[in-house]
Amino acid sequence: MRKIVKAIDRLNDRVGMGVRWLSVLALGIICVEVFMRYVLNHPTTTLPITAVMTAATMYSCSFGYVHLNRRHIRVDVIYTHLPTAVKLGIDIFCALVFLLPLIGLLAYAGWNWMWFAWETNEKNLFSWWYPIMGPVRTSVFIGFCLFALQGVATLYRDIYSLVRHEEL
Amino acid sequence: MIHINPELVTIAMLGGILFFVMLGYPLAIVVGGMGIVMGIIMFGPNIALEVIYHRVYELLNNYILLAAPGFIFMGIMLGYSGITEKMFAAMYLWLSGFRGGLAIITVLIGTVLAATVGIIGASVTALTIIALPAMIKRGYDKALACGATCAGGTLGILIPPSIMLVIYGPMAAISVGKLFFAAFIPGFVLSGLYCSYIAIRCFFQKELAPPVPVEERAVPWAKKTWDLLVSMLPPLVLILAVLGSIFMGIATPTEAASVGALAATIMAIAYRRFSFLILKDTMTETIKVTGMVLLVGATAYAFVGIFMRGGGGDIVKEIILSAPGGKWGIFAIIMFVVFLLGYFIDWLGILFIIVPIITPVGEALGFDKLWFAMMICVNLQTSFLTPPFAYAIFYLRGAADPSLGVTTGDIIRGVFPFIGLILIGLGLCIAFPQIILWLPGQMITGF
Repeated sequence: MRKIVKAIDRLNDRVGMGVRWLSVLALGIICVEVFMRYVLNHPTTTLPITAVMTAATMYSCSFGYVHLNRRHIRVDVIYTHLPTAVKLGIDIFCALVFLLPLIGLLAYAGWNWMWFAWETNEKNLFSWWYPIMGPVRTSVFIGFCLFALQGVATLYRDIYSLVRHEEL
Repeated sequence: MIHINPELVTIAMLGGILFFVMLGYPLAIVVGGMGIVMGIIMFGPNIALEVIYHRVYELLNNYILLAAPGFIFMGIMLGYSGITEKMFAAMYLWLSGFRGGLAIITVLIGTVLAATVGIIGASVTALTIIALPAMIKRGYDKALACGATCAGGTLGILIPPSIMLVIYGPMAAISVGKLFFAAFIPGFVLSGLYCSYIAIRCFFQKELAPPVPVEERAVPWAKKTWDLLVSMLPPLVLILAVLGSIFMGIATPTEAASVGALAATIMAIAYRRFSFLILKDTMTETIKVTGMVLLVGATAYAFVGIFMRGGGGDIVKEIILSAPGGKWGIFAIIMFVVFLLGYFIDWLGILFIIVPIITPVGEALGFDKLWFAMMICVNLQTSFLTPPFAYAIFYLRGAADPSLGVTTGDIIRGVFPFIGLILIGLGLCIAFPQIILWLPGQMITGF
């Protein structure tokens, strides 16, 4: 189990290091679109949508990375003054009540919608380009899965710390 | 599926998140989890699942919100480009001879930075590293120095481009471009209030902020002017390009953000601060911040969907509208609640959860949508400064050199007068709504 947890950590770290390039890619695509429109006077419908899809992939795949690095927004005014065992208790309780349903259902719904998109050849209706939605539904599903994996790994680590009184 | 009456839904959902968020569990997960759990109880798993997935997916695929990573990238890159040091050095020669001059410089640089960055982390940190040590070494009162740093840096999230406004737009169905220009003059009004306060207070309390000795600023006029021009020009060009293109109706905020990110990178290259390592750092920080913001956004958007369907929105509307005091009494209560929440809750929580719920209330009361939105935004300035939960204070404490000997008590004492000034600013916006509404009315077109 320890190996699996470490492997998930490494996976999400690698993914984070990979998807950070998507930020430059998405912004670059918009810059190209700006150039096409204002300099070449030849606007496209494909580039803005591609940028949005790139960004959606970037956001969803960064959730696991944010969770791994504990970079969530938290109101830790009281939390920081609590003893470690109580902190872990809060984290474990809230993970069971809030995190597990959230990541479970998101991954489940992401899976359903991914298959729906591929099977029905679902199209994006924002423009007359009509690109298929399958790829972005898939990347969003992958992002949710990475987040779910990291959620479970972090929960396991918290439980381990509470029981064994040592970091995993 | 259990039918729960809407009053109970309101109390359970809002009270529940308030409780668990105060315990210290991540906002995004509490909010999302609460939405899912209550959604399943009220409507069964299928509906809850569809509402949540669709709202999360919709937010991730939002074109306007794509401006957020752009402005975040731009702000972080500008931090690396070193413009803050250059501006400080140039203004130092001009204003340090006056009592309180350095504190005024801090606010002024905060204002210029605010027009180039969209997050307060970047501007408060930069001011803490550059301006705060200079003030304290010159014998400035620590509380005043910290207050000016926090308040000046916090302008970063009000004066456009601003992540707060990029998020506010889609949440309240208002054009982000219009919000940008509505925030412009109120931002300058606040900046002016801060500067006047510092000048007046230092004029009467002579020991508070001594002037810098003449030898340290004996530089010929020509050089002084040249330094000022050279240091101010690049950020001003950037501001004009980014905001001007939105104002003239040429570009969407998303396009302006992307081009701004590119321009910031070019500036870093021009200042010879750019390296591959810095690019990687900027990207990492960008995905960390956007991931964190978008996760709160997506889960809160889903939560609000469930909350509204459960009838909570109507209950909140009823409760607020039944308050005494007529239109302005109710308005005062809304503002007071937002102010109070700012003490304890993160601004993103207020933005993503409270704004969709109270926007219809503002409309029902007959307030101008844009004006109402901007009053909330100016009010939210206080949430960065009001302890115990105040980002500006956290960033200052995190970035301040320990050898300066700044205590949390100093920071809190220093920040309180500025909170009062923000409230005065709010009063001005009520008395003269044109402060907010004039500039957006001059825009060529709105997106």
